[in-house]
Amino acid sequence: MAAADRDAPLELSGEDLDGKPVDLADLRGKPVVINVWWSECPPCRVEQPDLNEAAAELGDKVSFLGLNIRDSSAEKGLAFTRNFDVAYPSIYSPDGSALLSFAGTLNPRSIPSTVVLDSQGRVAASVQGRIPTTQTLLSLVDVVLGE
Amino acid sequence: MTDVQWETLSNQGVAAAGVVYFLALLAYAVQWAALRDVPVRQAVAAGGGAPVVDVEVADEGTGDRAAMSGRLGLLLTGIGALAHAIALLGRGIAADPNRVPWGNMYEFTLSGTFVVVALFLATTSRWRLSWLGPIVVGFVLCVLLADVLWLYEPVAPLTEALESYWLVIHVVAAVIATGAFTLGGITSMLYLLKARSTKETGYLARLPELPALDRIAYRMHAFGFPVWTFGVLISGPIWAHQAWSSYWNWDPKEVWAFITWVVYAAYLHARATAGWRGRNAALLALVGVATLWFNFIGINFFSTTSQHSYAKGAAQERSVVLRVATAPVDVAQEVRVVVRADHARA
Amino acid sequence: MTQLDRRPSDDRQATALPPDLNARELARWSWRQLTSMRTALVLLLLLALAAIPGSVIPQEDVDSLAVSQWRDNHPRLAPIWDRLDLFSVYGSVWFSAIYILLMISLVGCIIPRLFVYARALRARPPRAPRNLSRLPEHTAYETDEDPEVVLARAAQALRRRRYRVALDEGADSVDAERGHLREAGNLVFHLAVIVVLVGVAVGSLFGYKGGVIMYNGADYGFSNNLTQYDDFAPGSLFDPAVMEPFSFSITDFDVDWITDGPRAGMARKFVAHLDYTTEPGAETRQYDLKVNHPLAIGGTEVFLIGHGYAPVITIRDGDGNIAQSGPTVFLPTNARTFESFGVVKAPDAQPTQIGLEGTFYPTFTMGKDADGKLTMPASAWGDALDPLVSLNVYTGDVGLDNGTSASVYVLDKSKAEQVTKPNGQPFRMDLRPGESVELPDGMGSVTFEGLERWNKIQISRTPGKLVALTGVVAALLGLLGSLFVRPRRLWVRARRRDDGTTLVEVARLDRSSGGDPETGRSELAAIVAALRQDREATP
Repeated sequence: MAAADRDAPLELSGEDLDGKPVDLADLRGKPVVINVWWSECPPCRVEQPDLNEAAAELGDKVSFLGLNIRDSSAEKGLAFTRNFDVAYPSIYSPDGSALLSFAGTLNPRSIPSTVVLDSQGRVAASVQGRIPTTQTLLSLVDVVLGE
Repeated sequence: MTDVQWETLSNQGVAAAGVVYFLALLAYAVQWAALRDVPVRQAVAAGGGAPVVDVEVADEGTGDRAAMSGRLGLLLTGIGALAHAIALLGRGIAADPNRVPWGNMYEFTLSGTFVVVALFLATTSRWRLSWLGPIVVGFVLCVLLADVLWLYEPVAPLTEALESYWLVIHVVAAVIATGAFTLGGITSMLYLLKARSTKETGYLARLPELPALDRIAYRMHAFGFPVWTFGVLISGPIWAHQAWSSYWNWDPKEVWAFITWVVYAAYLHARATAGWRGRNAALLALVGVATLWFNFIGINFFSTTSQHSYAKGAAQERSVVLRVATAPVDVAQEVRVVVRADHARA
Repeated sequence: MTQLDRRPSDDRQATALPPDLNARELARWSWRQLTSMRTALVLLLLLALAAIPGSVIPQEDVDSLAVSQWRDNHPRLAPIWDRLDLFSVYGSVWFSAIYILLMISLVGCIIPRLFVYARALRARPPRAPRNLSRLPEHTAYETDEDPEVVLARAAQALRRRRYRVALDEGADSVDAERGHLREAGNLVFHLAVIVVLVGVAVGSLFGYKGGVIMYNGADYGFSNNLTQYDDFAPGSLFDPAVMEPFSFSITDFDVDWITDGPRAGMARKFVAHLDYTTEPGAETRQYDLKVNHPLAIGGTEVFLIGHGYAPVITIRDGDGNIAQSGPTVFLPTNARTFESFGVVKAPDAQPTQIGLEGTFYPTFTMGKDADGKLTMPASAWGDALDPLVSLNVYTGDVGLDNGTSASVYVLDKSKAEQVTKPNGQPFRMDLRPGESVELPDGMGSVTFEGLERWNKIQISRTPGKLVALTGVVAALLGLLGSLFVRPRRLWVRARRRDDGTTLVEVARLDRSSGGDPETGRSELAAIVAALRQDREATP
């Protein structure tokens, strides 16, 4: 999505799986990759290593943020992040209310979904369903980084 | 009176209605037996086809006896209907909380047969339907018997989904239309029998002329059809929408109600435009009444998934359970939805 | 005579194929066939016939579980049925073909009739046929009045009877007609059928219907977003962007258990207390959601469909970490006792994944056979008076790691292994709330913490439903008009005869089906009486 067509910056805040506050506004200035997941979703489990790889590759240039929905408890989400060595935090939103902030933009509509925000926090790209490869995500992010 | 007493009263009412209907049937039998060998005097009235079943026979004694027993039959039918009404009332009051007496098949049949009798009583003098008496009473008696023998259920509260005033409206309309269609079906059947019969005496010969039978059948159907339309295509969907979230679910009961509607629409259409009177129309009417009664009774045995399966106790909730069980979280399906939606937008 | 009997509609009868014809004539002929009454009739009956299979064969849209069972039981027939679309009759090409043809036939029939009707409304009542005495309903009387006087009085009497009347200067008859509303009703009915279909089509193309199972409690909630649904059935032109951004949670759920009588044990009076907001940031409102009383938010409606239990089960893995906690939906297998089946998965347990599968009994009891011996465990009651979960344990791969979708209500045991006791018997645990069991081989432990409840909520958006409702009500009104308005024509002719007297003839033509000769006769008699009475009144 071209920079000019993008909607207003996204407002999103909540608590992560450990109960610490997270606010998207604190991550402005860098592109942000948001991944929507839950622990019992098979495609999420398959794509998590790819996401980890992308996060490691991009390092400080990009922030990553998970968005856990549907898990019946934060502990269950934590078991997942522990098991898959997820290095970035995830907002815990079991009722999916966090997703309502995306309404009207490239709205995540399936689990998993991945959304790339530009450095101003505007939705620049989204992948519905599992990301095909690490490279797909990296090239999406590269476009945003190159602006 | 306590609920238990009301329930007993209802059962006694059904029994009394059955006995009185049986006596009415006997009275009618006497009437028609008396007239059996008397040849029918041909109608001379202008225009032809006026019902001439009024007892005018040569032999005074036979005539009086027939007229007496005919009146007695009608009177007994009326008394039976009264007992029938009390049975229905008792059924409704016996339930806690009080409710309309059509929460299960037993009660629906009880109401349906009552409407058949009531419609007959309401129209008999106006349309001169006294000849229909024995058939109506015989039919109702058989159905009531079957109802008590096979469909009886003790009084019980309604399942949650049935607790709606739309139930009252929807079922009242369905029952009234069922009664009218049944009477229409009986008349059409008599039409076909009479059309084949060449006898000069007996029951068939004493029926009104064919055009008159055809017209009476048409009127029954013309009355029943709008009521059915209202019950099945207006109040039914409104209620379905409130209870199950979509107004039309292609539930087997709905499908057959729709089929019945289409058949009767074809009947009226055929009469109005294609000039199908008489035999063809009567055949179509019989198909209609067959789909109606199949829907009422038959489909319950063919389909277990019907949301109308109040035939068995807690089936209403069973179907809810089934629906829940069919809804596993299917991530793939959601992805498919999204892909399609994206295409539509692109 | 025959001319009079014909109605506009009768003009459109199927005709034989003309012997030699070009493409244009063929098209004309096909159109006439399609829009003929007989074809419409055949299509109607065909529609009824075509609807039958869908009521006997399970339908994908109605009950997909029944369909898959049917497929399993009839492996030979299923592919054939599939090819014939018999699992989705009402969306199939052949079913659609019938009703689309019917619609075309209907439109083709109704449009010319609209013009005919418009003309008929303005036209004068048809002139009296030459020989009135040949009409089936007629009568006559003699008088010594002038014909003009009789005719003027007849015109007045007929107007009073709400006839449209034409009396030409110098003519020997009054021509009258009434009952145009019948054809109007007819037309309204047919047009309304089209409106209904449009409404239904809009609903099924742009609407959606979805279900979700929600835990009770303010901690759990639902936001109207595709990811939140358990099942979702969109129309083919549905756009997710129209989904209204409301959210709600079920703060509390009431249910009444009937304790005596024939339906003892049945649950009634379900009330789910909702807190909802119409959009993020809007104020929170309350609603008591009941069966038959949906909550409408904008164009979307929320329905209470079912309820059940969600045992809260915690699994600690071999490392002592919590691998699973929180409630899990157990689906009732018995609607009366709420004996329920469920699956708990801990795919992230270490060192090995853990899966639990088993039964929940709200009021645990041991069933007894006829001899009074204890047999199978069972639930005595739907209310949770003595809850117990009985679980089997599986380990290995619980089937969530191959990337393909899996049902949360099913444990894929193809790569999982059942945990057994040293004697080879399955390791089974029966837990009451608060109880905990250590799993063998240092796998961890399982605790039954307590009980939550869930509700099955249905959410649907059906645009066009008011259009459909309006259509069907209009159809009913039209139907009443077309069935009960009796169009008829009436003529009064007065002619001076050679002997100086005047012969007045009155004839009537009933143009509806099912007209009663009795009413015809009585109307004629009433008119004649009016004509003569008026005379006595004016000496």
